[in-house]
Amino acid sequence: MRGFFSNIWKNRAHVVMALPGFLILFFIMYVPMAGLVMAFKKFDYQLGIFASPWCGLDNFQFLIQSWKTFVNMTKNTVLYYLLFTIVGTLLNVVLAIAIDQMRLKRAAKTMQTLMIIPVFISYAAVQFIVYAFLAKDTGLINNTLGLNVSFYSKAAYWPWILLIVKIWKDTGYGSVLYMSVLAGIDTSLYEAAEIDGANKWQQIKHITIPSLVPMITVMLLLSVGNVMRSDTGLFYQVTRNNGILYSTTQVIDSYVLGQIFKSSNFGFPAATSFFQSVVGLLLMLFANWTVRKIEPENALF
Amino acid sequence: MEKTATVAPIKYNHKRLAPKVIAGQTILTILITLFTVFCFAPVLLTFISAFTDEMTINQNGFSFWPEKWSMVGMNSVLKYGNKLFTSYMVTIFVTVFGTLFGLLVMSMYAYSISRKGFVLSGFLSLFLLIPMLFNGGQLSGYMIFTRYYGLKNNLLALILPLCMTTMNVIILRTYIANSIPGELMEAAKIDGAGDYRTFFQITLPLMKPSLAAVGFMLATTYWNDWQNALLYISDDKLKPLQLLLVNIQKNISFLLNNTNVPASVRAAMGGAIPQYSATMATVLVVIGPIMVVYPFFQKYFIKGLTVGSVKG
Repeated sequence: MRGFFSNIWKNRAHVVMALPGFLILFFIMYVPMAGLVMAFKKFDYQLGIFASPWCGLDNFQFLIQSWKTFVNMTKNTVLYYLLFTIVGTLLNVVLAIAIDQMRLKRAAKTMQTLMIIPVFISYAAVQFIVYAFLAKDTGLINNTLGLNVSFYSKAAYWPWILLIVKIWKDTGYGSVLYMSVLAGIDTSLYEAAEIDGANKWQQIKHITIPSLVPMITVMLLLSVGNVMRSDTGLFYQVTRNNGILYSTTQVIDSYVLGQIFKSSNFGFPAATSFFQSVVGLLLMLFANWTVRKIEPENALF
Repeated sequence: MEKTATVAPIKYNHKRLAPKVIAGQTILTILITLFTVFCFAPVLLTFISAFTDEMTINQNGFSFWPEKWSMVGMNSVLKYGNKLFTSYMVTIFVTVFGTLFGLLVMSMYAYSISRKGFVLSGFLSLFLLIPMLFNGGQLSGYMIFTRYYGLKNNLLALILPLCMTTMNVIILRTYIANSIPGELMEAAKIDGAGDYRTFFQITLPLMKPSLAAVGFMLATTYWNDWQNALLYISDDKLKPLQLLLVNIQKNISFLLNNTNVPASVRAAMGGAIPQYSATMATVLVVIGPIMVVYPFFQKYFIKGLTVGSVKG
């Protein structure tokens, strides 16, 4: 015990330097965790979360009453996560390898610069750009192809639209991370393979891809904790939070955000948030546990 | 292996390329070019639409080759004048202050947990990691922020939630551990520099590449944040740029969904009545600064991220 305190005294400068970060984490991240008890309270804004009376599992009854809405948004959340993660990871890796293979390095660099730009455009701005393409009368797609499709009133189109927007926005930037790994591969490996008669495909298959696997694992693992969370802007802004499209576009995060502004009954949103956080935690623990069983090196913790 | 050591490294440029290689490279270049066009065309369309004549858009729709160009859209944005200026100032303040504050807080935290022989570093690392696994979500955060911290219409509500993320601290810590020689810091100590001085005069300057990378990402996060603004800011004097965009869209929906809006209300909405070219000009004004600044940061950005993420 004495050693513990004397160590802290010796490192007091480090304690002081960590303190601002510690306080921010505590007040910004940890206190809202405690706020999740809202799911078990009859919430009254005047009383606040902690002083509101308990109500047991009452809020979860809303969840059963609105079972359809709940199932729909949970399904959308999970399916979009899977779609974006699978397609996204694949495209990131393919693009990184493709750029890495290009011999016109200057051109590759310039094109990469242009590809990354969309990641810096906020969804609040993206939705206007998407509108320019999809609007019924003035939209570029309808005009160019001579169609008259009303994209903003048919839910079935939106999984594809959102996928394309997501690919457009994130792929260029997403590949940077993998490119940095590729840059670190010892070139003598490729030279040796070439002398041994391996063609380009064989080199990619046996050298490039295996060296990307640890990075892919880490990125996937990090994303698992967010299965229940979505890129809110994509679903709230790009779809213009349009009720007609909810069957394919409403996700938990966009629903909760919308409910905050309606601010009538917080019971159902609170129960949903609780569900979202707990499921996210369990999935993360499970994923990490699985990776640790298979390849302990790649586990996060 | 010995054989490879004696072979000179292959230099593609000095060798005639096999036809197969040329064909492969051509296809590859075409595909990547197509993808680049896919990524950049929408950005280009924004530029063009902002300078397209309003009537042309109404009649022919958005186009890459408009019949008639016009400065009207851009001018009407500039006519927002004060409102736009205020929003610009708010966004710039939040971005600059938030980024500097965030970098300082995160690099100090990263430095502390990277010190060997500091008993709390294990605890502090865990404390940092948990929020990545579990968090309270939007609703709880909103209630805590407004009801307990009283941050409604307070710029701190835009700054605090984004200033520290687990991933960024990990990137900074990895950089300190891998790229800054520990001997340098020890030498400084032997020469009599205290812990603070070692950090601010030795470590921090050496962290430049990763600070630039993390800082730029952080700055764009602040610049692009519409969600916290939508949740916490309603005062006109504190509205950031992104909230202006969100409000323009709200006005559009309002007009579209309410066909019987009286003329007086339409008039009261004044300059906010949506016009395609003006809207696109606003978008351009909002996203423009990042696109201008970004190329200068790109080199750090790729280098700083490289080093940080490899170890996860």
